[in-house]
Amino acid sequence: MNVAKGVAVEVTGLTKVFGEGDTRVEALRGIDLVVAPGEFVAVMGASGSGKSTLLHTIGALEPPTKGDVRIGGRSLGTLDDDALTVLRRRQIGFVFQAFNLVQVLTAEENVALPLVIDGLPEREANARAAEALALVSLTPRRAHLPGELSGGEQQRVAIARALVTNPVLLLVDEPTGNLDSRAGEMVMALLRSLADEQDHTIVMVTHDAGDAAMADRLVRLRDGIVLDDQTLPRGRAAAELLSEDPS
Amino acid sequence: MSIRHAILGLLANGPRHGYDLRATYQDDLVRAGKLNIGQVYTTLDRLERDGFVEHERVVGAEGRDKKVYALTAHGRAELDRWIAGPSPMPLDLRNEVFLKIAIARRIEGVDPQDVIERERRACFERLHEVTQARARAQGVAVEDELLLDLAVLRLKAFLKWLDHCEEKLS
Amino acid sequence: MRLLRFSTREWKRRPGRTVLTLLGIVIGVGSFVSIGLTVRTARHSTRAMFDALAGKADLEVVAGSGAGFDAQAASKVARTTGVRAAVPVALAPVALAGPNGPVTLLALGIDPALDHAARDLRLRAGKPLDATDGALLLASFADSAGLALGDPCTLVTPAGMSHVTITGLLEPGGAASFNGGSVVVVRLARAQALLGLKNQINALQLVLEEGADIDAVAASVRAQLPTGLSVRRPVARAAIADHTVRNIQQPLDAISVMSLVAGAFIILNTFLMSIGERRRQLALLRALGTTRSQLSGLLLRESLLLAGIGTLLGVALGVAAAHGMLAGIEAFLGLTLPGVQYDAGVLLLGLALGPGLAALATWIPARRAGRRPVLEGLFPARTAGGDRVPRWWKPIAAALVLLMVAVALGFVAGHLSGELIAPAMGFVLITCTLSVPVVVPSLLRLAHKGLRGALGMTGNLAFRQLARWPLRTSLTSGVLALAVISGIGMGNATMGNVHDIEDWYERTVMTDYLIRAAMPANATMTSPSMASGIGAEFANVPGVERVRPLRFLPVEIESETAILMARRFEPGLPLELDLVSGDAGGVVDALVRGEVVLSSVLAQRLGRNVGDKIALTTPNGPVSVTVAGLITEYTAAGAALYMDWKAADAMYNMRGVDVYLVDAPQSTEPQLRRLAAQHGLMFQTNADLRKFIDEIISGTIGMFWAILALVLVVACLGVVNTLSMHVLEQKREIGLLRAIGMTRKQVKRFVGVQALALAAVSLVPGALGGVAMAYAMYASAYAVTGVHLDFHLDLGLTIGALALAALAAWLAAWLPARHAADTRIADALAYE
Repeated sequence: MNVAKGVAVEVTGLTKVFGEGDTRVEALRGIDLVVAPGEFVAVMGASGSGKSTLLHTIGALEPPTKGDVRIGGRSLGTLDDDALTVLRRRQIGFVFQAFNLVQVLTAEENVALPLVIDGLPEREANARAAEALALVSLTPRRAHLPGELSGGEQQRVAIARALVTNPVLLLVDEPTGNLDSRAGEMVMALLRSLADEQDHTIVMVTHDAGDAAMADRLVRLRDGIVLDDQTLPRGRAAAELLSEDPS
Repeated sequence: MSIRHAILGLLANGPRHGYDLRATYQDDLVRAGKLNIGQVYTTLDRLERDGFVEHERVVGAEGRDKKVYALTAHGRAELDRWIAGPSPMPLDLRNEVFLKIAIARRIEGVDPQDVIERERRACFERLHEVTQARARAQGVAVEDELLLDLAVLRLKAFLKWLDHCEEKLS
Repeated sequence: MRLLRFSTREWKRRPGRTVLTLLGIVIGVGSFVSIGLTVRTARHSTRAMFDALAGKADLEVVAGSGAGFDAQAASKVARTTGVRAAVPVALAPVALAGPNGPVTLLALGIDPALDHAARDLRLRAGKPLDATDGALLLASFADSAGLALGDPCTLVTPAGMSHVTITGLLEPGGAASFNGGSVVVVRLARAQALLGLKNQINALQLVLEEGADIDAVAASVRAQLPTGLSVRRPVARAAIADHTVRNIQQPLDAISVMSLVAGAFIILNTFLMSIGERRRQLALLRALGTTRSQLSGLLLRESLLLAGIGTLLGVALGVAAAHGMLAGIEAFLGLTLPGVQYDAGVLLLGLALGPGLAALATWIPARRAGRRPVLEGLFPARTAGGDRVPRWWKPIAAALVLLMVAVALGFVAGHLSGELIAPAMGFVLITCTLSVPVVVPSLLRLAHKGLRGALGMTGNLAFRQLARWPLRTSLTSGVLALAVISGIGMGNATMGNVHDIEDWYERTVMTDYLIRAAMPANATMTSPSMASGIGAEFANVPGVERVRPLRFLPVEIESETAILMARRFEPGLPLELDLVSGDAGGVVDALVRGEVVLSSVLAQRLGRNVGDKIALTTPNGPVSVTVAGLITEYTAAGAALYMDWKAADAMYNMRGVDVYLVDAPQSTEPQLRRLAAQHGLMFQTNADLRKFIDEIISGTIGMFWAILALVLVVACLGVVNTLSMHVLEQKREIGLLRAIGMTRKQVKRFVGVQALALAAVSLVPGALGGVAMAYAMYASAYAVTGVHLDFHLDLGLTIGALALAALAAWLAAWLPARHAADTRIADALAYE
């Protein structure tokens, strides 16, 4: 597909309205956004800015009121529910603030879940889940239930689950919101390394400036429109920063 | 920042000569701060005058003799007093960004919000630099990490302050 | 803010859960009330039927077994102290030749001048009998027979045919309800003429003074009566009909108990669930300083309020459902039942059931919620969630099982009487259901292992979800198990009966043709007679081998009432009886000598065996006869005995014949048919009779299936409720599964598999309990009635009931599954 070349996600004129009459809320009011493959984009904004709605719409969890979302060149508007589901299953990986692991499944089974849903034999799914868990350094915890893992570990399991299908796009919603700072740092470092080393395309919603600064590009939303879209420069080495002259 | 006490502290684990003190200070402790050798000896002379250190001459490997400084009991007491006491917390309210915003408010046709927006972008770039470095740096010493954290938190605090400015001035 | 407002807000916030909780109570209370009222009404109606006939009469004077007697002979009885009025009646079955074929009616001859003392006949249209010498019919009966006011109709009796005009249509109730409404009221003189009674009557009904001592009056009346007449309470007549109705009552009693247990479980489960789901919120209230007793009080008030609303709705629903079920029974039995009996006991128990169980189901978890550490509830993420079976459950269940075994042994050994069978069945049901939680974890594991390959990941997930909630899972599968137990138990008992009846009529119904005035009425087993001379005309048809008369006569044997079947027996001919004890050749000889053959049921009730003597009450006083043999017999629900025609005629002076049994080659059939038509009689071939019996049997089977369906529906509603709660609770997980790529279809399957897993867990205890129940019903049937049945387990039926329960559970998952599949993903992910 020629159109898809150089574009992972393309959002055009996206509008999302909830409710009617008195309870009518315009969550998104015409958003345009293009994300290139391998890009790590942070979407920042205060609560109510529409950032979660944007993520849900890109992730085919909510249909747009107006406008279009294209993922890998395919317009979501032309797909029915089943096709959207398969798209979510194969092309998109989700990471949520509340981890959303299935409490009755072990870490490895949670990670294998999308593959099993896709019809992969359990053995093969488990093997791939084990690889994904290794990637997030949780191999020793593979047989644990979510209740037996720390918050940071649970979020890393969730990331492994999002990665296991080798998706075109990772959608990440407030990944550190439920974590202490140390666990949050680990999760953010993991996401950064996924972008650096695995060339994953990541769209992350956050209200934390520190997390947002981890991305390559910062999109700031306010009241459902894009306030600012800033590409951040390639960083310098730590040593250089540490010896930087204050003056 | 007290260079005097830094030197007292570096001598706490045994006698050292001037060049040695300067190298350790610059490379390990305060990398962002330059210290010339003259400053080191002036400081050492004053410390010796106050009875905190003493020196003896030693012939080095190249045949030149060096002054090797050591901490006195009095010096050790001064170091302990410094560590145990609280540091002054300067408010340091001379801030350039604030100045720009304040001036912009006073000039017709200049929007302070534009200043804030530009500053925010710049601040984000800085934050990005530091957090990236922080995440990518492999095997950085703990002390370096702590310094980078300090930078991150300051920048985040500054960003927050910019948000406040924007809100209050709109 | 009052704390109760917290509850109402909570209901509004979670309308789904509130509705489900309410629905649980409505189902529980509704099914109990509807079935209870239906059973009470059916039972009452049979009583009422006979009370209606007797009217206000407290005693009646009769001759032996319904024979006529001279009204003058008893006239002085009217002057006995305590008797206010003596009302003569003539009563006998007649056949009505209406436009829709012959129908059996009960002809009631009354003296219009005296009768109002005994009964009120309320006319809907027409004139009373004081004014015209016509006939009164129940309005609805006339309607269904295609007759209207002023129409002529023909009544066929042993005295021949009689034409009469319909001059009045009766309102239902009172005497008009007798015999299921198949009653025709005529003047006494006409009835006497119709029945060939000349100036005789066959009952003198006595209405007593207010406050008179019935037993004392009966004693002084008895002293004045000439030989051959006796005085009794009118209700005694109900006995035979009672037996017939009891066949229907038993399954109704069983479902009544079953609905009570199921209702109780549904209510318990619903409340346990809704409190379990609110752990976090309750912990918050505790953290804010609500004391334990305040918390329990709040939950209790909340439950009681909800239960109150649900109970009222449930009672209303139950009353409506009872109307529907009674309409069904009326259609099945061809009866006109009186309106629904609003039995205070049933209604009060129904009203207490909802709030009582809700309080119980709230109190236990509320106490537990109060005792739980506050932090554990506030941060449910730290604990795995779920519930557990309380520790005290196991010993209680074990004790109940032991007690159940003891009870079962008690029945088998005959130490416990048959009256206790319904409560015992309830006890078995409760025990089986209560022991489900003890075995559920192991059963879940077992079922999980067994179905792992077939169900894959969704099954895996479904089973683990269920394993997290062993208590809830158990209670739900308990209700399903209940359905399976009732299905297998009642099904096997019913089918066993059906097999036996089929065997029985295969052996006994051997004659080629049957001639009768009309088919006997279902409820009373009475049928109109034909004149004795007609038989000879059939015998004269060339080619006819043999014509034998048959008469069904209600008789009294000691304390029992039974149907005497008088028939001609001849040595050398097949016995045409299903002999249980005694040898066939000897029995025929003994019958010809004047001995009797008893049904095993009657022998059991009388406590007699072959060779013993029984005392029959006849118009000529008590007669003692020897029992020649015992047979299996289903006529009059087994309250039957056989006697040779001549011996019976000598004892009872029989007028008329109910059925002529004609043995003849097929070539004579057209001629026989013509002859029957000439006399306005019914002509049946052997195949016709078999078909008739088959229809009754299929009716019984149909009723069984209807009951099973009802039980399954109740169980399904329980499953719907539980699964809906599961879906609500797993909303977030389902949202996640959708987000990571589960299609709607897969989500539906996921919920469906949970239903199947629930069913799978309930099948083992259900099947075991069902077989035990079937055996208990078989064993108790023998102990109670003396019917010899072979216990055979119908494998097809047993497996069918299991499959049906699984299918029902799967279907019950449809609604919750759809709800789950249609959940908005973004909302579900944010659901707490």
